[in-house]
Amino acid sequence: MEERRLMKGNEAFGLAAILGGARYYFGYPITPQNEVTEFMSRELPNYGGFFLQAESELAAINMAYGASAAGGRVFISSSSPGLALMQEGLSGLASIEAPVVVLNVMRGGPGIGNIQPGQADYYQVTRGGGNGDYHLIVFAPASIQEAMDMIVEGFEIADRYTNPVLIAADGMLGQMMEPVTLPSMDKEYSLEKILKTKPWALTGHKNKRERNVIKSVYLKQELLEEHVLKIFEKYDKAVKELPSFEEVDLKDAEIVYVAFGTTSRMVKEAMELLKEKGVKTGLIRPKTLWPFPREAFDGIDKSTKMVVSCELSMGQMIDDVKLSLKGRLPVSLINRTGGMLLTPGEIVERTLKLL
Amino acid sequence: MGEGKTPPLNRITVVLGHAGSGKTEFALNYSVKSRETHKKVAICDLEIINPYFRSREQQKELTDLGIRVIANTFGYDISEELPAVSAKIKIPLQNKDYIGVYDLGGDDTGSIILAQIKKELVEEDGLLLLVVNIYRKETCDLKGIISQINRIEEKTGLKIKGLVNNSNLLEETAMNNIIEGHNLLKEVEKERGIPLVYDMVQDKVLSRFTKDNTENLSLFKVKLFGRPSWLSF
Repeated sequence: MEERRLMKGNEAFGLAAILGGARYYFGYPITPQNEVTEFMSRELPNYGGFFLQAESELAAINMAYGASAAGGRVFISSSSPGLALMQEGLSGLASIEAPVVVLNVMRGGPGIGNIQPGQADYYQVTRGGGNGDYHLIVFAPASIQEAMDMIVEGFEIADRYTNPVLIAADGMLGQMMEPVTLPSMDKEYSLEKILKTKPWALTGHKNKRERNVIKSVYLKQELLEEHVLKIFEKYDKAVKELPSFEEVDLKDAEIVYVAFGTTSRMVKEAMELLKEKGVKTGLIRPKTLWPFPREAFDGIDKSTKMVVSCELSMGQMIDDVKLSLKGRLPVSLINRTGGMLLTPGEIVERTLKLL
Repeated sequence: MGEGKTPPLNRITVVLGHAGSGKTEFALNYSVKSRETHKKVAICDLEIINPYFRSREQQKELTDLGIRVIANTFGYDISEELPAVSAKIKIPLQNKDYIGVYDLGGDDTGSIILAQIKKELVEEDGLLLLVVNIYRKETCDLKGIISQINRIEEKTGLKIKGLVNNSNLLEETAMNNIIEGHNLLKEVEKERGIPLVYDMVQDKVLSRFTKDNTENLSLFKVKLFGRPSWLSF
């Protein structure tokens, strides 16, 4: 049997990044993700990596910008208000087409909010707080193991699409413990490999090749439009290739829930409780928030009368649920916000009221 | 079935361990069991490291069970707290009617706080228990556990007097996980002369085991306070 280990979410996220090949981490402390920064400061140098505590989130994202432009495999992490400070940099990274994996251990907002778990960054991560036409590729793990796997895969996807990939975890996932199997270690990330797989990287031309130029400024409007259209060709491809979801018991379901991350686990227990009461329910769990898995909604059975978006926010993903359903079914919201969690009991109670 | 001794083992017990070793769950269950035979039980939450999963979050449930919770919060609201340690933490040490359980933050860093009550702890012959889960990387072998004991003893100037085996993989825990932990801690016992006092096991996990294979253990059955039920889904 493969070796199982009990890990705290934040430690596991850091370890997954290292095993996935990250050798550069720039961070600024913020709860509830501090253990990631602590873990990377302690462990990354042991793998030949480079850790730097930045003076702010703005500095961290711009250090990531530089290291990624030079071909390094970069991991950064923060929590909601910290990620808000990084938005300008994320827009820049998308524009210069730099692969970086960004972890957001979401907490209650708006503003400074609090340090309890939340999902109210859905707009921030899928719609972008940064300027201009761009997208982040966003994954939403529901367990520590899934988060580790998504972080490792995230580096491959970030490289393939030359775009930042964001992992939308939350304070609960960061702080709780679960047994995990470690992903296998990526091979050494050498300069040779960078030169081979990232010909655009700023590795120094040494008068042997044309200079590489990385920039996000295109003063001529024709050139900027051309640049944006080129980036959006990648996004079109991502929309076809990346959407991912889990579906549970859609057949014969009267109600179908849509929930991502930890909320999906609260919903799964509620579904069991409702089954005992004779109410058939199903679940669509988006694993990617952008691109949103719209095709998942084609699997909804004729028996379904209503779709319920369950969120730890005032209802943000619900917009994508409605866009996916195109008015076919009524959509309701069961939610808590401000760092409050739904409980399976509350989901059951509020569902019964909707029937 | 091999049951461990009925708590409390001492008037004053201090629970230490690696971050995520299960200290808080042990301390909470130990307090609840102590309350079954003692009128005055107080649990002091000295977690100064981690803002999640702390004893003080269970204040309401513990208070209802007749256990006094001493933490630096106002009422039940865990968010209204001071970044300081209340002088009240000395109550169980000074008032000998109390059974006192001290729940500390993780590792040697979390144990620094004992400096504030060291004099009283020595006077009252406080029992320092180290909770170990061998499925945590830092305490997965003899070397790791001994190193942790050394670091805590060096930082606090106090001796660890008992070991608690909490080797588990949560719901996935199998009998051999507990036995492997038991065997490794028996080696620590041999090496350092610190007795293994309990083998901690979740109630619902224990129900899966047969009585025969628990004979050599000193079982300490626990119910998890801090873990919501939906995390099993």
